[in-house]
Amino acid sequence: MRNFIDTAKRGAETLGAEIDIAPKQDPNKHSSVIDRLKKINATKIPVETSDGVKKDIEVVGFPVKLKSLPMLQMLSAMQTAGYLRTPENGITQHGMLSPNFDHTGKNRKSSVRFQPVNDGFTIKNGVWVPEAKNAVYLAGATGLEAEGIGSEGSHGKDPEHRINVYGALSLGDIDKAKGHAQHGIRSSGSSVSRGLTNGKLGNVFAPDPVEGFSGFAEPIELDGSEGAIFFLPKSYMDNPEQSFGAFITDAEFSAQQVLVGGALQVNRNRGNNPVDFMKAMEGSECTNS
Amino acid sequence: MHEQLITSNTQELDSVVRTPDASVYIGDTALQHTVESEINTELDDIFASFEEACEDIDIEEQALKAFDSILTFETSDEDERPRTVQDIKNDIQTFLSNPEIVEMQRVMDQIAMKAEQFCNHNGISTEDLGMGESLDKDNELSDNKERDDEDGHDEGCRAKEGKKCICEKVGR
Repeated sequence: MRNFIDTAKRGAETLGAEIDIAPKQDPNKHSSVIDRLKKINATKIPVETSDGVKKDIEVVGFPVKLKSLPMLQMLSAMQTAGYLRTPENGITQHGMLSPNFDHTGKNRKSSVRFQPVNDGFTIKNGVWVPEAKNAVYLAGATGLEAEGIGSEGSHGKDPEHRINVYGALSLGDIDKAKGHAQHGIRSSGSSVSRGLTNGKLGNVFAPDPVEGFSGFAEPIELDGSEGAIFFLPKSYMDNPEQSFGAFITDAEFSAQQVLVGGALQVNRNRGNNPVDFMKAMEGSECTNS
Repeated sequence: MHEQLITSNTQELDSVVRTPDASVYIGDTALQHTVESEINTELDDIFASFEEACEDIDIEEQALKAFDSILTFETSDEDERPRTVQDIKNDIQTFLSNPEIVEMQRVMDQIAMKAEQFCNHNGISTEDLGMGESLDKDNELSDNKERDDEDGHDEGCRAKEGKKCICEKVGR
């Protein structure tokens, strides 16, 4: 079975056009897919808000099986937010699907990656959508991964990794630089997500203690054998600009700009001078291993 | 001819084929219909395969289990307008256009220059540091090793401007 890239590539090659396999971000291009997703039967789930109001939420379930992997791959290309329940621990996590690249950073694996965050169960004005800042961070991180950055390859393009290695080297501390490099080559999880998680590098992605962003959890790679289920709330489909990373990292910003800009904006809100903050990063100790 | 075709149809970009996985702009109407048809067929296959995957699973039961552990959901203050993604994107736009960013980039460039000098004078491969663009630099380094011997540089030294050694200039 041909995939979308093959189909599109064949058509474009007929015209002599060159195809970039990395998804470009166009806010309109996924609309037809979302329209189709809306037609899938949803399940109503009763929930109770913190002030005691009971209401139903609607979700569409996507079993993670070999036969549904093409669907999940399509959703990952759209950087789709949702909830993942894994059977082994019975935990439901909120996060975003992202394309999964091999170590070269150029070829997509058949599996997809789920990047969880540690919060997000919030109803805002009656609409169950991700926290806006979570959506932005997730879109930035998964957007970088969609460009092949943040997995086993292309560490140098990973902003968090690059900044910290430069910082250590600028102080002539090769051990610290190499120590940081070790975290850059692990097979699961990216520097981007790890940097967001603990914020102990003195980096730009330090979690915001005021607004409570608690960072990313460990990424989960889904190859169809897990028996997990991915749930996509109906309200997400009605609010694609807050629920699909492809709608956030559009032509205006690169994924890196979204991530760095969003994180630094938080620091500015906290009264940190970005330049001082950047200088303070020089040689900051690597705690990511 | 193909280039002309694409150029002549530039104005149609917004109405051409949208793939869910990659951006491809195809201006040829006939081809557009063909590819659209193929993509729709592909979508049909994906959704059909998805339906098969759901056949032996009680989604409702699984959904109840999945969200059973989440006892309460927070609500926002009704008087407070929640920050939207657009708000944050506006913040990013403001931030990126701020002169501080230019200064920050300058600091980053300084740091990068120090790092590069450190590597140059200590024979450190950027590959050891997990830097993604190391391949080209390493190839360059290998090439330089041979030339270094001829030019009297230490092995691995890349502190040269063209073929001229600038070791003294950079304080080596």
